[in-house]
Parts: sequence; C-alpha cells; structure tokens
Amino acid sequence: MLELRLVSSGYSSKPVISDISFKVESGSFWGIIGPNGAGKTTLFRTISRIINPLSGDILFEGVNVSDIPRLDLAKTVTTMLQSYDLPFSYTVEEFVMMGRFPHQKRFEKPTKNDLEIVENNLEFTDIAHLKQRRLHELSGGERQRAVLAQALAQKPKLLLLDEPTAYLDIGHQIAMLDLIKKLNKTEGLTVVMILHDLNFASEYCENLLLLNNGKIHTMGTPGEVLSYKNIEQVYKTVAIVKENPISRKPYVFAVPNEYRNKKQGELAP
Amino acid sequence: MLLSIAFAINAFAFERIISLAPSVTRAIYQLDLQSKLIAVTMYCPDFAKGKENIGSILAPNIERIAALKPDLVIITKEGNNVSTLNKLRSIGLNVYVTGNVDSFNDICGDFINLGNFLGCPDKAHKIVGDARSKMAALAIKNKNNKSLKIFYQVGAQPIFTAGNKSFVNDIIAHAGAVNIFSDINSRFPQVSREEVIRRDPDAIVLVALGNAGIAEKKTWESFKALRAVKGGNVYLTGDTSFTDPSPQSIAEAANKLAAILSGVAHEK
Amino acid sequence: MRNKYTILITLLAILAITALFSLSCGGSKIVFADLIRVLFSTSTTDTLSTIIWKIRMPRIVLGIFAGMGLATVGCVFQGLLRNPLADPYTLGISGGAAFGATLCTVSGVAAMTLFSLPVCAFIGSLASFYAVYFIASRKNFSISSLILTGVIFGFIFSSAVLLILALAAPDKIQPSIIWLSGDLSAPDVRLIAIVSAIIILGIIVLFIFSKELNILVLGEEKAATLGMNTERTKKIIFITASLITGACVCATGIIGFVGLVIPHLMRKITGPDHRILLPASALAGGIFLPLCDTLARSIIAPVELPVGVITGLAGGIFFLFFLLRPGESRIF
Repeated sequence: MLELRLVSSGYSSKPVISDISFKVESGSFWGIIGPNGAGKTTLFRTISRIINPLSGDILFEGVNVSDIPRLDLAKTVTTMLQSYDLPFSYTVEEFVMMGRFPHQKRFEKPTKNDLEIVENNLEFTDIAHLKQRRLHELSGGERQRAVLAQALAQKPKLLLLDEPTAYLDIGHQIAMLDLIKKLNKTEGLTVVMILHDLNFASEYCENLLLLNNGKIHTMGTPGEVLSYKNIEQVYKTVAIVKENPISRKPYVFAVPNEYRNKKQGELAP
Repeated sequence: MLLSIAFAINAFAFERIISLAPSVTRAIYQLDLQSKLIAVTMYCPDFAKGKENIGSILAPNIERIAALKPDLVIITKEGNNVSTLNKLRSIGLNVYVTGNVDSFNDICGDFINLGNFLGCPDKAHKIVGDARSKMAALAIKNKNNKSLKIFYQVGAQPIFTAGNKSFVNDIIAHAGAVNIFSDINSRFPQVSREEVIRRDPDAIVLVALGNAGIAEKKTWESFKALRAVKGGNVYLTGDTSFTDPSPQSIAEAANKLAAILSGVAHEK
Repeated sequence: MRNKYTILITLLAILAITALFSLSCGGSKIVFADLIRVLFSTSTTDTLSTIIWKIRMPRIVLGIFAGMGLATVGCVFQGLLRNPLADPYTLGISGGAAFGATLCTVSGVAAMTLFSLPVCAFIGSLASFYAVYFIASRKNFSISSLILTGVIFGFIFSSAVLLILALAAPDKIQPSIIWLSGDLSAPDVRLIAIVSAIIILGIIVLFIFSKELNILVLGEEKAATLGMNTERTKKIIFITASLITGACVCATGIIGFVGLVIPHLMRKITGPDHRILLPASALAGGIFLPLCDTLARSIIAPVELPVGVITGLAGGIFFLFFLLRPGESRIF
C-alpha cells in the first residue's frame, strides 16, 4: 500500500531524515518509534505531503504520491496530527463533518451518506451522546476521540497517527488504542502510528520502525526491534526487555540510575 | 485668555524680530519694518523668503528661535499653539501675542496696538485709516443694493464656512451681501452640504483652502437645482486677500467680492 | 441554532428599513410621505429631491456597500488569521491607502479633480498590498508571516503619513484627518458605482470559499491533509479581501471597528460556520455603517461628525454589552 524508497526530507536543504526505505503492506499495523528529534514527525509530514521530500520516492498503491492530486490523496490517506488548532466553538457533529471535506463538492450540503458516516464514527468512538456539545465543553479524552472520529470520517484506507494518546490518562490511552486496533482488524484499515511509549508500541503494532538520527536503525517485529541492545544504543539509557506475561509480547523495563551499578549479566532472567 | 503685552511708553525699538505667522509677517512688511525682521515660518509669503526659516506654524523650532537671539517674537492667538507661547516665555524671550480676529474692528484695533508696540503708531494709523475709509465707501455704495445671499466656503471635506464671529462676515456685509450662515455664533463652523442646499444661496464663493478647489467647484455645479448653479454663480478664488486677517486685505477682499457680486446683482 | 435562512431574511428586512430610515434623517427630518413621493417621482428640480437623491441616497448606498465590504473582510481575516483582533486593516492595506490619500490632499492634487483622491488612495493600497504579498509569498503565505508583514507595513506607512502631516500647510491638515477618520460623502456617483461593484463581486468570491475558510480554522497543516491546496486558497482569499478593502477605503477613508466588531457579534448569533456567518456579517455591516453615519450627521446638525467616531464608540459599547453577557465568551 505505501512504499518509501530512499526518501530524504527536511525543512531546508539539509535533510532531517535520509535514506528511508520501507514498505507498508495493506492491512498492516506499523509503529514508528525513536528518540526525540529522530525525525518521526518529519517522516509523517513527508508522507502526508505537508512537506515535500528532498529526494526519493513515496508510492501509494504503486503511484508516486506527487502524481496524485491532493484532494484524491485526502480521500484515502488521513493524518491525525498531534496537536492542531481545535475550533472550540464548533459542535462535535460539525467538527467531525469536516472530515468529509475531501469527499464533498463545493456547494453541496452534507449528503445522507455523509451524515451516516459521521453518525457511525461518533458511535464507534463512543461520543454520539456529545454530538451537539461544543468542543470546548469536552474533556481531553473526549476531544481526542472527536479528533479520531473526524479522521475516520475521512474514510481512509491508510491512517497516519502522530501520538494519538498524548495527554491522555492510561484508561483513555488503552481505550483509544483498542479502538484503532479494532479498526485495523475488522475493517482492514492500514495503520502507521508514531508512539513514544515502547510498550504500547510493542503491544499493538505488528511491525516497528526504529528511527535514530534521521535514519532507520532497525525494522521488524517488536521481538526483533525491541532488544535491550537496540534500546540502549538508540535511547542512550539502560533498559531490560522481558516478556509481558499476559500477551507474551516484549516488555521494556526502564532502569533508573540507582540500580545501574550492577552489571548487565546479573539482571538476566 | 492670552493678553497682549502693551508697553505704555515704547522705550526702545526692536531690532531683531521673529514672526511666527504669515499674517504677522505681512503686517511687519506693511509697517515697513522688514529690515528688523530676522526670521519667519516656512509658510510665510514669498516676499519674505530671504529671511531665516524657523519651521512650521504649529511646531516652530524653539532652539533655532533661541539661537537667533531675537528681542521680540510675535505670535498669533488663533494660528499658533499655546504650548509654543509657554515654551518661548519659559526661556525668557519677549513675546507679543496678537489679539482677536473676530471682526474687522477687532483686527483694526489689533493692528494699531501692534503698530504702537513696534514704535510706528503713525504708520499703523495711516494703514488702518486707509482700510477703514475703503470699507466705509463700499458700504455707502452698496447701501441701496438688494442683499444677495451668498455661501462662503473655506474648505471641502468637510465644508467650512464663516459664522458671525469671523472677519469674513464683515467682508461679506460690506460687499453688500448676506452670509447665509451668519446665524451661527462661531468663527468657522463646519456645515453639511445638505444645509447649504436647503438655504439655497444666490452665489457660492469658494476660497481655495484645504480640499476646496476645482473639484469642489465641479461638485457644486452638479447640483443643477441650486439657484447659484442655475445662474452660473459659483466662484472659485485663490486670492490671498480673502484669507489674510489684516485691515488692508479685508478691505481689498470686500472690494473684490463686491465686484464679483455686481455681476450677480445685475442678473437679478 | 436558528434556521440560517430566517436569520438572513431578517437581516435583509432590517437593512431595507435602515436604508429608508437613514434617507429620512439629516439636518431636517423628512416626513415619510414626502420621502415616498420623492423616491417615486420623476422631477428632480426641487430642493427636497436634490437632498434625497443627490446627497443622501449616494451616501447611504456607499454606506451599505462599504459596511458590507468591511464586515465581510473582517470576518474572513479573523478566520484566515485565526485571530479575534483581525480586521480589514490588519494586513497593511489601510496604511498604503492613507499614505496615498494624504499625499494627494497635502500636495493640493485632491482639490483639482474629483477622482484624484480615491485614485491616489487606491494606488496607495495596491502598493502596500503588493509589498505584503511579495514578502508573504516568499514564506509560502504562512499565517504568521502575513500578519507580521502587514503590521510592519502598516507602521511604516502610518509613520510616513505623520511625516507628511508634520510638513503640511495648516489648511491641508484638517481634510487629511477627516479622510483618515472616515467620510461617506464621496461626491461622485460613478465612483460609488465602481466601488460597489468591486465590493459585491469580491464578497461573492469570498462566499464561494466559505467552506475552505471553515477548514482553514483547523490550521494549515490539517487543512492540507484534508486535501486543500492551502497556499492557493490563502492567496485567492488574501487578494480578494485586499481588493475589497482597497475599494472601500479609497471611497470612504478609514472607517474602523465595523470589520472588527460586526463579525464577532454575528458569530454569537449564527455560530462559526462561514457559510452563514459570512453573508450575515455582510448584511449586518450594511446595516451598521449607514446607521452610524446617520447618527454622525444628525446628532449635532448641521455639523457632521466623522463616521469613524461613531462606529468606534457605538461598536465598542455595543460589543462590551455582548461580551459581558453571562456564559462562555470564547471567540473561536
């Protein structure tokens, strides 16, 4: 579905990311992880054409993204950005309806289809009871769900999410990720998600891309990527990786300073 | 109220005079004292161009004035700023403030005061007497004329005219006409075009000040229903005698206005 | 939320009433019966007719169109720049216009021909528009660069205006200041016609982009991911809005507060959706400005106050009441 070939990108002539090549198969669930400044958001902005790559190709379903008109691209790729100006005085329903923009004609009123899609997404994200409220009346968690509902209303095939769980408490984080996972499983929605939390990434993502200093450090399943060696190299901190007893997926334990004098070997399972 | 400083006995004549208004400059030339005049404003008339320039009327350069070491600075009550007066006095300069310009009589009296102050009372009296007799002659000539209603305009956007507290009213009266706004008790009130139309004057006299010029004349002429327009009596004048509040100018202006209006009177 | 058509029709009705009311106000009150007679009669030679047709009518028509233009541009700039303090003059247009007009007045050219003042003002506004456009285009029309550039040029030009006034002959200062405070007495009907045409066309273009304006409120990045060509859209909006402002300003001088306050008031009634907020603001502006002008020329007749004085006072006070109402006072 999405393929990057030797992509370099940045905000001036000096690239922030370079030599990025990877393939995202349809229906897969990718996580992009890496330290601050590694270039994750830049990568996202490049894929969603907010900025243009300095070199390399980005192919969406085999077609070079620069050959796809922006509006058509918006009908299939949705980017849920980390923070953007929320128009607080709009109602939730109006706000989610904005997601239908790429599918609507200029002077068209919302069609029955539009209304249905919006309604479905409001229900899916469990905020249908709030649809007449204005955004500023919602809690942080509810707002984030509204943002997700808006993104889903765009009816994308590929969903790019930049830190969808930022600012949420753990209950809401899990709820949000469960929702996204459900979409991936039941509707075959391809998901590429930037996450800070390595354990959430491990838990929910099929594949991980570890970025460091603008280049790909490692790519693969969570088991392949989340080794203590990789983490120590990239994040410059000490960590231990064990298995999550419930899901059997890798689980990363941080090692605070006071425990670091012991040698690595002594902490082996 | 700014008082004019009048010395009872003129002990000494002034040798270094600075004028801060065109009307004052003109007066000094009329009194033949231009040799004592060392500086004027940038808007003073052309014949004073050789003198030092001390800046604008509203914000003259106090430093320069002081550096020139005048023994007298003359400013006007209505043209200059009070702050200028205060500043000049605070640095110890000798300042003479001219008086009201509300009427021809006021202006004549003021001119004589100035002449007395500057040490040439006879000249002043002669000039004023001359002007007065001109005005008197005009009044007699026009005694039996039908009074024409005229609108006297001194600016456009907005429209300013002369009320009854202005020397212009005297100009108009002596020229044998009636100022349609003589019922307003101020000097130069702002009026609306609508009001002028309502009062329907026989003639419109435009003095070229501010935005009153050819454009304004054309604008009036587009109001074909007006009596003044129907008779072709819209006049534009750039003559400085109409805007100079000095006895001679007023007499001149009154005569010129009478001449303009005689054309109108005949058509009636 | 009331039906949007109800709101628009109500506004239209108020507009018509306001126009009739304004026609009957002035130095002398004109009885309604006389007003109707004059409006429908063909004779144009009596005083009443002259006053109504040649003085009040053009003034009110200009007031309606200028009010519509300013309110619409204010509404659009507040959305585009995502700033509640934005008004038609935020992006520097008024500075250039003021400069052109003041130069024209002070040099005496304004007194010479009827069209010289508006033409100079318009050329001035084009100059400042182009300056802002040129610099903003090098920064991809980013919102912050638009605002900064506009503000900077606004300052530069107003300093230039003060410079000219400092050196001006005293009799040229008053008309300059009156122009700067706003003046609806433009004498030439042709000018009013041209300006009104530009304003209406511009408003229609902006209305066509009202959905885009809604989306742009989400931010340029999000708008781009929703498929909008943000740079092109911003360019079109900026050019159109600047043209409308330039047209208004060259005929009326700088009338403040209409563009700032009216959109906020209407937003409280119609909500933030530009598809109704925009036409509602336009109509409300067309009501507000002629009303203020009527007040300006009637309150101490025959003296006419500058209309900018009334829009400022009335607009400010009116808006204070609205702001002090209980409840959420969020702007966006």
